[in-house]
Amino acid sequence: MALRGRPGSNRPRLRPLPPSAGRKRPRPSSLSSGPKNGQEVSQVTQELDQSSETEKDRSFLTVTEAALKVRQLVEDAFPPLWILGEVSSFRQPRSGHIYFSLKDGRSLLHVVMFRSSFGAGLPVPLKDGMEVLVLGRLSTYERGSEVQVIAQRIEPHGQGALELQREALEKRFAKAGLFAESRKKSLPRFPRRIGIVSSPTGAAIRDILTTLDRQWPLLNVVIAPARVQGEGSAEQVAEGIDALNALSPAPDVIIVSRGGGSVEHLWGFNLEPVVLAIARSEIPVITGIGHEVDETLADLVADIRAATPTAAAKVAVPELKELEAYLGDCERRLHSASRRQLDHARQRLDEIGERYDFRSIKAALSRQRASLGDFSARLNRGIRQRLRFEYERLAAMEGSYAFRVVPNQLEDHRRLLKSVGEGLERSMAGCLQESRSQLKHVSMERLQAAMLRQLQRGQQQMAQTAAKLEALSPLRVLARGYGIVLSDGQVMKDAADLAPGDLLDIRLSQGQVRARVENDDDGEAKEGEVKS
Amino acid sequence: MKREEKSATGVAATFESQLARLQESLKRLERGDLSLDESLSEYEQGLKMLKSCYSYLDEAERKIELMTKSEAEGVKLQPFHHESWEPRRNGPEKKQ
Repeated sequence: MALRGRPGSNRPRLRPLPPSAGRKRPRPSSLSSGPKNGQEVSQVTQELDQSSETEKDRSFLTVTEAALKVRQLVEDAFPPLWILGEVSSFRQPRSGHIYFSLKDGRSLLHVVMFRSSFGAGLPVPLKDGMEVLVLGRLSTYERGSEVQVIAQRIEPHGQGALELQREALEKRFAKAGLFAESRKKSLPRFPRRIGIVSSPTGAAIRDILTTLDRQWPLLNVVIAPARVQGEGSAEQVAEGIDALNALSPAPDVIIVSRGGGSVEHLWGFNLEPVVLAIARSEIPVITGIGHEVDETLADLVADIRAATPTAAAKVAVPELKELEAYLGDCERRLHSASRRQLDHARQRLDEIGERYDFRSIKAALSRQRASLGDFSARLNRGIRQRLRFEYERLAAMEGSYAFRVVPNQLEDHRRLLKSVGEGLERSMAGCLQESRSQLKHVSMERLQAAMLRQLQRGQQQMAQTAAKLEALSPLRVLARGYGIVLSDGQVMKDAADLAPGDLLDIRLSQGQVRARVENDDDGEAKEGEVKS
Repeated sequence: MKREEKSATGVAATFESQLARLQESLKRLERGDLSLDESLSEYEQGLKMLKSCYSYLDEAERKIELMTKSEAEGVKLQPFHHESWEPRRNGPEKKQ
């Protein structure tokens, strides 16, 4: 029987009563009480017949008039007032007006709020079940006299109000991206220092410390004390987080925690100061607030959310026993792995030893070394022999042409020959040295061939040098028809040094003669009588 | 982590990296394709890392402090005592 739809849409149009209505009061009649016996019935009908005669004298209201009167009465009786109740059957048709029932345990009032009262949007998002305070005027529904409240303002109340606030905040923070997965930092695996924001006397801190003690007792713990419920708690928690961030050395991880409680108790952790402080913390934050079912906005923005304070401590640190066991295992594996390697290497060595007869290789190598030594000795001897041969040849030349008088030149030649010989010896030795060091990589044949080549080259060089020497030798010059003119054992080069009558010794390519200067003759060849 | 210079993480990061190095040495050794020289040096390296890991656990400093703030002295740390809780021990057992 709720009032629905546009006023008057389902109601039949009333026809106005004749103008006589309402002017006269109807006479009290026995019509109100029912007939008791037959006699009375006829009496009643008689009376009715009688009353119809006086119809035009009765004063009466139309329904609408009556309804309007009631409405006036109700509206006049009550100023605008606040009514608390629960929303139900909430509806907002296309007209934009809001219709719902406001009820408590026993009674129900219809409420309407016209669009004109709230502008473009609903003042608060209303839902069935919400507890609200409605400010409005009591009135009646024009067409039917049901009481209704014409609301001017609607405000959330109690739990509903908090829920709404949280929803609005959640939307705002989500939009700012504070809950994004990508923002969340990873926890350090082995923290050395941990910060805790909580009440220093609460159960939460005790649970956390117990867990830390049991699991990872190597920690430095710094507690930033804060109220965790009631007035100012959000600000204090935020301050604690900021203070831990500013500490030096700073903690590696922060736990924000409090024990279980009602929604109101935990409310501070939904508020902006806490959420923003966690968001801007450079140190990873773990929240352990209340129990599993309690989820606050601080939990959503934290890097890790744990269900309880104990769980938060568990996730913050590794297990010491586990780590020690792991290290022990590593030690064993280290030893056994390296031992395996050694065994393996030893085995390979044995295999190789069995596969190759090293002694025969050694013998072959030493044989090669011996033959090389022998070869190099022969080479040395050969070179020396050759050199000696050349020296002897030179000596023979020296002897046959009395080169004693031209000692300097001879000396030069001898020195040249000697240095060539030495140079050859050195290069021979060098080649040998090189060959010896290449013993490993070069086969005997190649070695011998190389030696031979070197020897040949040496011989070639020798021959070339000997040829050069010969070409420069004074003997050659003489062979071309020149003679050496000596006077008093001095070699003569200038005719001016000679006077007629001087005795001369002339050495020719073959043999020598004595001559006497006849006269000087500028520009002409000297003539000499040959004394036989 | 951005605050390594300021935080205690500097030491923790070393521990973590030493542990990682130890695991690497183990992996290489157990793969079995190293030369003898390389095996010996990995073994030595592994032992060295293992020793430092153990000493990290041994040398752990254990302290529980309460942060206080006052107008006069600013932020200070004091030893913390909880009325119904006591630390079980002062740190891990020293390894032999």
